[in-house]
Amino acid sequence: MLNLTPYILLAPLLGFLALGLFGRSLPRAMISVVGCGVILVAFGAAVADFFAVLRSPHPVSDVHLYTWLTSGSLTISFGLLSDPLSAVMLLIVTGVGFLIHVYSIGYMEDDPGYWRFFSFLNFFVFAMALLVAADDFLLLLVGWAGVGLASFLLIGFWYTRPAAVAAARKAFVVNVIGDFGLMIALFLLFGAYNSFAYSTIFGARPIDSGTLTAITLTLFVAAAAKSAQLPLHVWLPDAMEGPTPVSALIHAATMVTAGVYLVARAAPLFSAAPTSLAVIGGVGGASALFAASIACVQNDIKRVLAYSTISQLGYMFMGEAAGGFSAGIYHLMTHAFFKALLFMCAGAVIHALGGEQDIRKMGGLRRKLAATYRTFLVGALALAAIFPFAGFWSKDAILGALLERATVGGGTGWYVLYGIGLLTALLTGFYIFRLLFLVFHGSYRGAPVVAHGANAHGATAADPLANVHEPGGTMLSPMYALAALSLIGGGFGAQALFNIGDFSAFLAPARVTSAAELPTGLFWLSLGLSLAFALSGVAIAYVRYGSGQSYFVAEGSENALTKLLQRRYYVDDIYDAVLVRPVVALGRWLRGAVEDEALDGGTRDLGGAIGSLGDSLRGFQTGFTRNYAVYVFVGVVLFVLFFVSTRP
Amino acid sequence: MLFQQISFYVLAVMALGSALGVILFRNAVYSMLSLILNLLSLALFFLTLEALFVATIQVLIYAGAVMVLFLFVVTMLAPNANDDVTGRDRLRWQRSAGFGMGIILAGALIYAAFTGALASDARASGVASLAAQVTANGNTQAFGLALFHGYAFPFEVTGALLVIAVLGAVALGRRN
Amino acid sequence: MPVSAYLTVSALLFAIGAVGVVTRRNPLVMFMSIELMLNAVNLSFIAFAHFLNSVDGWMFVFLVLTVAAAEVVVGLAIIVSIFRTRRTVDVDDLNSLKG
Repeated sequence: MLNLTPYILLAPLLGFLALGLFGRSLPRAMISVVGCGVILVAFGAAVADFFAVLRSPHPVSDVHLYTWLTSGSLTISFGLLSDPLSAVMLLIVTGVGFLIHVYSIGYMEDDPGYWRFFSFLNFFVFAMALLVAADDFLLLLVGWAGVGLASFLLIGFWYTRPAAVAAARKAFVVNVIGDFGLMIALFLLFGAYNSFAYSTIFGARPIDSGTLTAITLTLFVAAAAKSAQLPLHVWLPDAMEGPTPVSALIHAATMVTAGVYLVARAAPLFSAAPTSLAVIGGVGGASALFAASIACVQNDIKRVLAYSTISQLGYMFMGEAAGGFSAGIYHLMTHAFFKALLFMCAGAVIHALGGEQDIRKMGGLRRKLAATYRTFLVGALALAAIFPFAGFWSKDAILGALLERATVGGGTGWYVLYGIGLLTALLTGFYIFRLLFLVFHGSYRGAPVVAHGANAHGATAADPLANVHEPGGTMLSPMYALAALSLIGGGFGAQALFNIGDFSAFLAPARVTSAAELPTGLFWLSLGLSLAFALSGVAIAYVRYGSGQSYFVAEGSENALTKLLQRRYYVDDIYDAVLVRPVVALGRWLRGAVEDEALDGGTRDLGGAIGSLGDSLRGFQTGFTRNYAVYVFVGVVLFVLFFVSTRP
Repeated sequence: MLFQQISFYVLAVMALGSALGVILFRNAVYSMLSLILNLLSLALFFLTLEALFVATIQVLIYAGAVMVLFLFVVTMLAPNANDDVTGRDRLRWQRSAGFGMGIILAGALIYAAFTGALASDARASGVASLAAQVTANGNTQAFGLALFHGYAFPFEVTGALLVIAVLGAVALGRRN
Repeated sequence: MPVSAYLTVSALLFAIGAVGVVTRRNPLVMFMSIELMLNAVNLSFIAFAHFLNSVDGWMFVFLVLTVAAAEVVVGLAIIVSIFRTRRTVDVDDLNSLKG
């Protein structure tokens, strides 16, 4: 079978190197062409690969690239895998990646670090492709670390801003916790299976459940850190300090989904470890509800979307925990479409308003930004899982898996998770439409908008939005493309109405299992319930915000619940008090007591001691000849005494 | 034998006494005169030990030339200097250290002298021995034969040394 | 007399000379004490030459004598050039090497 994965990786790598080394001196047009072109090439290869997988009767192909080392019975080599799961992921990464690259041409046009941005974006696509195309866990770790690095570089892209630097650092530190979990998992895997390769591990005989649970739990720690689940979610909202294309690509569509991919890839292991699955389900459900509730009171347009991402990732994990690994991947795909779209629209709004991100200063933008409004509406409907948009099908697949797991000997826990899923669907509908109404409906509440770099001519108090205009073609066309995908992306799921599991069947050769079919009655019940909850959420938002009034609670007069949500359940404060402050204090103490006193002081005292020794020896140099004569005399006497005493 | 013993003790007392005089007199000129006496007693020692030529040159050169030089310098520089040996010394411990060391040194050397097996270690006793040479050729000739046969090189080096010393003295003695 | 008697006298003379070097402050007297030490050594050489029946002792004395003479010349020249301009003749005044 054709395996084009090496080319899918090679193109972005070349783009990264070329732009990184020479980009500073290239003209802007060439940077755009190179940066987007390599991704387009990668996308083309990914499409060809996908069709090869689709048509092949045995769609798993492993291409061996390079043997790194052999030591006794251990052989570590690098190889790339082409199978249904990696094909789907590569399509998403390169496809959405390409659209976002095109979007960045317009969004970052004024930025002096233009070449650096595209170079880093290319590097990210390379690392993410490596992660999903790796054929063993070790290479996956390489890609894993690579995307962590890319995230750090891109969050802190505007490195002169302290907030951005702090956010990048926070993201990296939390990510390292995940990397640590992954490494422990690798040690355990190697200890149990004596190999890192997927084929060996997934095809081996079952091992004892204790080790398996340990392996799967540590893998999930890594997944939770990368996919921003409780309690390792704290880096994602702060990561919004990066440019909006970064938020769209990395923190919505691709990097944060690496955790979901990891769990799906290791589905055979997870399926045999029910304890871990319960943990995953619990964490996913908690994150989903937690983040959705916080999103309801956020006033920064990007923060709402960030918490929404955490919440949707929780959904994906819940689906995977219920055995519906393919449902999780399905939702990953649709989420990539509409979340990237929503971020792009947010970026268009921010760009049009000259950098404003606070929704309390927006409103009534749907006349001036009509196209943006329409695409945002499509994305919002998809996110809220309204029929027939893509999100409806994928979220329903997850809820169906949960219900199926609950009814077939699951226990009350799964019913609770199902209930959480429904409640979160309601909150999702609420917060995204709150955002839509506050930004685009009603009347404008902000200051007159200054035009790009020019004077604010034409923008007066009477017409503050005079300088606001739609984003350019390079920004709009990707938005339209994603809007179309958000609408028809449920094509896979449309099959579900008639023939459930086409997507699942597609993924099956990659050992990605799915939940069993629901009996028809329950199936329609679940469908109806999810739609009902989602629509109620939208309705509440409409009642509160829809008819033009803006209902903001004034500072200081929030009730306790709002305050709790606005302080994000005080999680950051807890981390600060429990982890950050003690570590900083420890560092200070070490510097003072150990470094300054013991080590530095030790060397200083040693030097001082030698100095005083020298000073005391100075006493011998009196300058008087007669004293020196005495010294000679003493020497002679000693010599004579020695001689006399050792005579034979 | 008796004469030898008596002469030894007398000469020993003279030598030691004058040595003490050298270091104990306050007046530098007195010290110098004691030194001359010491040199003469040593010359007499040499005579009792049958080193006639060496005794002669000891008197001629040491007591004669060197001490005259000393006399000139002493009378030029500090004829009335009063160097107080018994009073306080600026440097503490100096005197006691010196005396202590001196006693230890003397003790050690005397001990070494008495516990050795040197007295019986007479070397050659044939034709090559010193006594035979002296009786054959006389004291001075024996001395000359030894000097110019075995010790010619040190002799030449000593000559060079003397030249250097003279040059040094002339250079130092100039008034600029 | 056995050789040890002469060696005893020589040792005592040497010790006395050493004490004199260390104790006296007048540079000329110090010099004289050094001469004393040299003569003590000469005595022991001659004693050994007599008792070992060897001419080497005489040779050494000859050399020591010559070198001592040369040394006295140079040493006195130095002393004269140092103390010519001072009124006091005291070795302890030369302590500028104090460190």
